[in-house]
Amino acid sequence: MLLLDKVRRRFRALLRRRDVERELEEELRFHLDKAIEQNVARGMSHEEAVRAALFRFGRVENIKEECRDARGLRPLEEMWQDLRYGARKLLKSPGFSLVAVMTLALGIGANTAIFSVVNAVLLRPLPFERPEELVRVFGTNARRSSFSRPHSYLNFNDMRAQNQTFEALAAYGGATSALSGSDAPEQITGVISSGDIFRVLGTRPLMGRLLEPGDERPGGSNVVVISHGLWQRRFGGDPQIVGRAIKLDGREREVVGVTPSDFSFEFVTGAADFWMPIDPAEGPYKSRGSIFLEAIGRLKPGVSVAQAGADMGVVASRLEQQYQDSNAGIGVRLAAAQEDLVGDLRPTLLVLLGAVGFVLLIACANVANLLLARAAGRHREIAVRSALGAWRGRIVRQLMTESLLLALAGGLPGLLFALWGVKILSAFVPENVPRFGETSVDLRVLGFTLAASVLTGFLFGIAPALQSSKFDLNEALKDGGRGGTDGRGRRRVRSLLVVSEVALSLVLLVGAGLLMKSFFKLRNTDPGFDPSNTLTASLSLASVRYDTDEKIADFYRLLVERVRAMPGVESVGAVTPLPLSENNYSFSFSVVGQPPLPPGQGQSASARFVTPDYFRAQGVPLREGRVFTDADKAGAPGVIVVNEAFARRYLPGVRPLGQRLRLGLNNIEGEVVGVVGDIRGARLATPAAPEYYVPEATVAFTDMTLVVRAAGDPASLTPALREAVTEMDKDQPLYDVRTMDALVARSVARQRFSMTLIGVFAVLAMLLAAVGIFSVMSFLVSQRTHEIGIRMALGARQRDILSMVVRQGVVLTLIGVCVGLAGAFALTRLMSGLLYEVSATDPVVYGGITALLAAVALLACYVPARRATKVDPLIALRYE
Amino acid sequence: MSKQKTDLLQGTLDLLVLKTLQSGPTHGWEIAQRIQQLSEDVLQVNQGSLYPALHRLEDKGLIAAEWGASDNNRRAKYYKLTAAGRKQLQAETETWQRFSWAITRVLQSS
Repeated sequence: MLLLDKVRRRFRALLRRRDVERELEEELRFHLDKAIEQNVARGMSHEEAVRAALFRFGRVENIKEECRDARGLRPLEEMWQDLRYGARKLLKSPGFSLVAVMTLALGIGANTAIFSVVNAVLLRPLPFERPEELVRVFGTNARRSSFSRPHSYLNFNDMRAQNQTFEALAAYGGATSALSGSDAPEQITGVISSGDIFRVLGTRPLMGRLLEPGDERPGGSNVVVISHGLWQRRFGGDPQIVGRAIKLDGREREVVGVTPSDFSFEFVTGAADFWMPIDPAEGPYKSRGSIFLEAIGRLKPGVSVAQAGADMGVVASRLEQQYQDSNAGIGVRLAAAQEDLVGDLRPTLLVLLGAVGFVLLIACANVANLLLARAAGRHREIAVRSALGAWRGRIVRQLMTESLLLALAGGLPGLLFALWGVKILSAFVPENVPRFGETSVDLRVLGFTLAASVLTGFLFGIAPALQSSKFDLNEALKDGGRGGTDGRGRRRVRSLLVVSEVALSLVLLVGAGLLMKSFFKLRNTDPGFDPSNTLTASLSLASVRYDTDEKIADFYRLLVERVRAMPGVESVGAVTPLPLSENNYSFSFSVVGQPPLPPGQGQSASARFVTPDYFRAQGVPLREGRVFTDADKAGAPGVIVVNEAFARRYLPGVRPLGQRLRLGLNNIEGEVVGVVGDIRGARLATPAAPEYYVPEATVAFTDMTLVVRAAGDPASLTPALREAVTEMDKDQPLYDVRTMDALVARSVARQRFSMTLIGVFAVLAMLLAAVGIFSVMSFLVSQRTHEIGIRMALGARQRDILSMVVRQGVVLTLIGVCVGLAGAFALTRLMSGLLYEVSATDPVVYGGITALLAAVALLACYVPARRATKVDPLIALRYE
Repeated sequence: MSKQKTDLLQGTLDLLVLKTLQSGPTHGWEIAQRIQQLSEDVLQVNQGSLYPALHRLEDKGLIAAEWGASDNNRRAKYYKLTAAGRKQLQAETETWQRFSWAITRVLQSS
């Protein structure tokens, strides 16, 4: 109330200044008139009365001034004055202002862009109701510590029924399905889940209804929920979609609802374009050994993740007791959903944010430099102001106002840069990075820009302001028109700026260098196969139409034959899972003849299912024995090919060929007939694991990926490949058509992303630092023109002058390099998680970067020094 | 002038202004007059301090101002105590009394 009054009064005073002034005038006038009246009443003549009253009253203007002060308006008025004065000053030197504003815009813009990514990925809550209650539940395996084990449906069901801490618990798995109908068939990705998934997520339908617990029933309900995206894209936003039947994998399903447009579910790969309920009667859901479901739950209010973890642990150990065969050593691990989704992006993003922060700091140092140089020119102005009675704080405040004005002026174009930067970023962002697509400039980002601008203004403004307001008034005024000599204090500030610029950019360059080196190491890693000239394309046969193993095996055999006959094809094979894909089929096995392992201690390894020519098409070298032939099919004696890592690990000391393995899958028993080279598994960065190969014809997988080795450009084979599939089955889509080179590139996309960004920032930092050194050295040279003239007049040679100036810069650079090296040593440790086969203290990178930066700094010193040698002593001496 | 004039002690002017306004709203001239009269001309209020003091008190919300007609129908700025001002007056009066009592005690001791 009181405060409100006060604010209102102040605003009135500020905005309606004239009224307030008039009232003050009138009030004092009234008093004066009263005094005159009294004097007249006491018997004075009118003139006397007036004179006496005025004499007693004192100086009206002084009183007014004090009244204004009393109203607490002074600071506001002064600020307004400072702002206008500062703006005028900045406009008067447009060159300086433009350079400063653009430098700042660059720094602030880059920071805002990166922050908007951090905001979208790390800060913004997941787009679900009360997202902090969402928790993912993983299985753990006592023998494989880092492994997140999926759940079997039966285990999940027990956990759902027996836990005490979850409001709801749902299971889901990514799925892909062929959508056929009037348009060309299309493979779409979606989710198969338990019926309560939307209760967990707290999502409400856009139309119709979402999945409900009743949908998860044996025999299956033929319902499907589709995404807003699919509804728009494939069904043209048909308002009658609810109740319509669509054909998925050859089976009719009724669309019961559509999810909202802002709904996304990034816990599965690919877009969640459809949602189908689990049918507990289907084979895969009836065994505790078939594990492929993920679980997500909503905690009861007030329950912590740790409490829920303890609760689920109890359930898990109960299941362990109950189902020794399948559950021995199986536990659970809980993780908050958001942290789980984006947790592994945090180090990258924080390193990026740090890097871009360094760029801003260097930009600040540059602007501070400019301000210092300008302050030298404004020496007299400041001296005069202070002679006229401005106290030091007032001058500092005025200079700071100017800096803030400058920083805010930089923030505005900075925001534009940021918008532009976000656009570029989202264009080359790697696939499958969760939440990145949501990057946008929201209120929080705007707040960040404002805060960054203000902070920047303080950072670059404070040192110059303090420096230039500190002087001996007498000295300054005596100094004539020469713009003042550079005081020792100011020179120290300037040196400090150069040193810190060099140091900061060195740290950044070293970081970029390390990332670059590890990226090149990664790119040059031999994947174990030959990715050149290879095209891959996936198929997923609908089990409704391909209902026997023979049909499936025949389809792939015929397709491979057909493709092999196409012109331009050298060899072709089919495989599942494709190398460098996230899919991984791990099955237990035992070596026949080795003593049986105790229950729960079985060994397992990743399996790949391949057609005979796959090894040739993929370029996986055969080390020993033979690969598969067309004769290795169902009914023939079982055969297995293992990789070298498998032979080393599980068949040590024996000749692998001729050994027999019994697989946990379909109880297949087979003889090892060949050993092939190791390949990089899920990612290029993960080392090769033990793997074995099984002929596709003996297991008949519906989902396979074709690998086609071409004589020329592999991408040109795409239309013919599609045609070949359509000719065999017009409802069968071909999807994920990519060259192997593209897959290799995708597998290192994240590393490329962070390397490129940090590289750009580091180069930016180096350029800014070079400009900074250059301008400082130029300034120092111009300050010493007189001195250099004298030296030359006294016989100094050009070389002496050159080395004198360069030495000054070199000393500063060297100090900066030392500080920077120490900083890099301390800071690059934080990014060791992002490095691949490169130590955070790699001497080559440190040495190379130091040499590079030193060379750039030297050049930045050399140019002004060179100019110094061109000084004509006559002119320099006359330059008074 | 027969009587010696006393300059107002720093800060006491505010107290006197508040006290004067306790008996009702009035304008600056009247305030100065009353202080002078009540102190039997010992305390002289300087306009140069009075008006800044009035504006300061208004800014603090201890008094409020209003334009009204004076005795001979001229517009004058009338000040009156606010609730906060009344409270402040009471507090300051007590402080002052304690203070002057203490000073007196010290001066009377021999």
